[in-house]
Amino acid sequence: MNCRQIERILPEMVSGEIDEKTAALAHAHMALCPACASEYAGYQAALCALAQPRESVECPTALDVLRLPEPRRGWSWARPVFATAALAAVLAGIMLMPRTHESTQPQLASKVSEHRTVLPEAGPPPEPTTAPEPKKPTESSRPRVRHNMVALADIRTPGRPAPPPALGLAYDNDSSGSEAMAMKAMAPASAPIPGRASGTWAFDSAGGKETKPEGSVIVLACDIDDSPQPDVPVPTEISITSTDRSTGATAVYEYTRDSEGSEEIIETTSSRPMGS
Amino acid sequence: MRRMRNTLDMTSELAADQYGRDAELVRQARDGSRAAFDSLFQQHKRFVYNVCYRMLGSPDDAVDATQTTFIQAYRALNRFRGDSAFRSWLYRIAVNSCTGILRQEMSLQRKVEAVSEPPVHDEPRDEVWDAILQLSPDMRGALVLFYFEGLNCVELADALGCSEGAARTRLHRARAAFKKKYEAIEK
Repeated sequence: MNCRQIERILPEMVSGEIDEKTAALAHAHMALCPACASEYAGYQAALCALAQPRESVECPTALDVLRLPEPRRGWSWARPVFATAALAAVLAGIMLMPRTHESTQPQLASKVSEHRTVLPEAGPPPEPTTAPEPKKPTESSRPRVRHNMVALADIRTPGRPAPPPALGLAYDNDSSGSEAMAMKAMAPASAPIPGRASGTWAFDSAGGKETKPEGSVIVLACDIDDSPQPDVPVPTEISITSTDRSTGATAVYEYTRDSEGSEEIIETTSSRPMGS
Repeated sequence: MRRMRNTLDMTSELAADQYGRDAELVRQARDGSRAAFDSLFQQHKRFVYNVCYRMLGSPDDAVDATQTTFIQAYRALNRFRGDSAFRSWLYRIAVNSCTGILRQEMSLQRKVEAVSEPPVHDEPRDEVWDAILQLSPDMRGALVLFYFEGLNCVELADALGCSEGAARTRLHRARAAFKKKYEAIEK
């Protein structure tokens, strides 16, 4: 064995991890090589000191209790997924929600929907020469919306000087088809004919009456307040006339209502715009 | 000779018994039992603390490293396959925790060396420990586990997460490095 080979095995030799034959060869070399013998002695001193048994250190009181973090709840990964899904569902619900707000106004809903069914039958599209072409709403499954529409309600209550309060439903419809609805309880300001109330209502999206310039205000339907009035009998005949201001096309929607509030459509007529 | 063999038999029986108890506690802890993991902590905290203390040289750092070791073990309990003893697995986590702490300290020490004195430990030391604390984290871990905790080369390989040959090589280098440091301190 040479010095280099001895140097490689000295630590293991001191630790007794070398077989006897190799150890004997190494000792024979060290007997003739003072450098390797000195190196061996150095390892012996260092590793014997290292191998001295040592007392195990007692744990301090700080380790009496393990401070484990709160256990992670299962499905923690799913939290953001569920949150996103819930948000998407809410948004989808808002987008797909019927835009007539019937659910919140059941009394008005039936009349509004009925009235809407009348509006599309208000004659063929007007000629472009007589009036500017109204904006076409986007195609969708929801009822067609006419722009710049004014509804006129005639409320006939024979023998009564004042009309009952009325509710107007107003929709503001922009070019993308999104709607804003305003509802306002109102009473027609005047009764031109005793027993006959007439009103022309146009609301902006905030419910203000006639506050928007013509062309930007859409009224789709008017309705009569169904709440009982102490001194006003329930109207028996109601006529709502819708007029498209831009085209002049009109639709008349007449119905009767009995004392229990049941209604029956008695006539629906439509007329082409003037000059067509 | 017969007496030594009897002692070895008893030791291996105790080790097997400990192995079985640890395996059962690990299973319960995996099922969500905090009490089972607390039992594991109480049984092994002293060994882990000693390794951390020998490697870091500071009781406070050793407490932190011990806590960190058990917290990491708790989080990684599902990844413990049971191929080795639970204690060997803990040793590996402890050595890695201490190695991380030491590397951070060394990096910080290099940055502040120019403007301040090196930290002075108040703990009672001897030449052996002083020499160990001058070694690299990897070498410290190998020497502490082999000489202070009494692991053999197979267990050392388990605890260091390497092959037995690699563990022997690391131990050889650590011994050689220790000798140099020890001789320098003695002179």
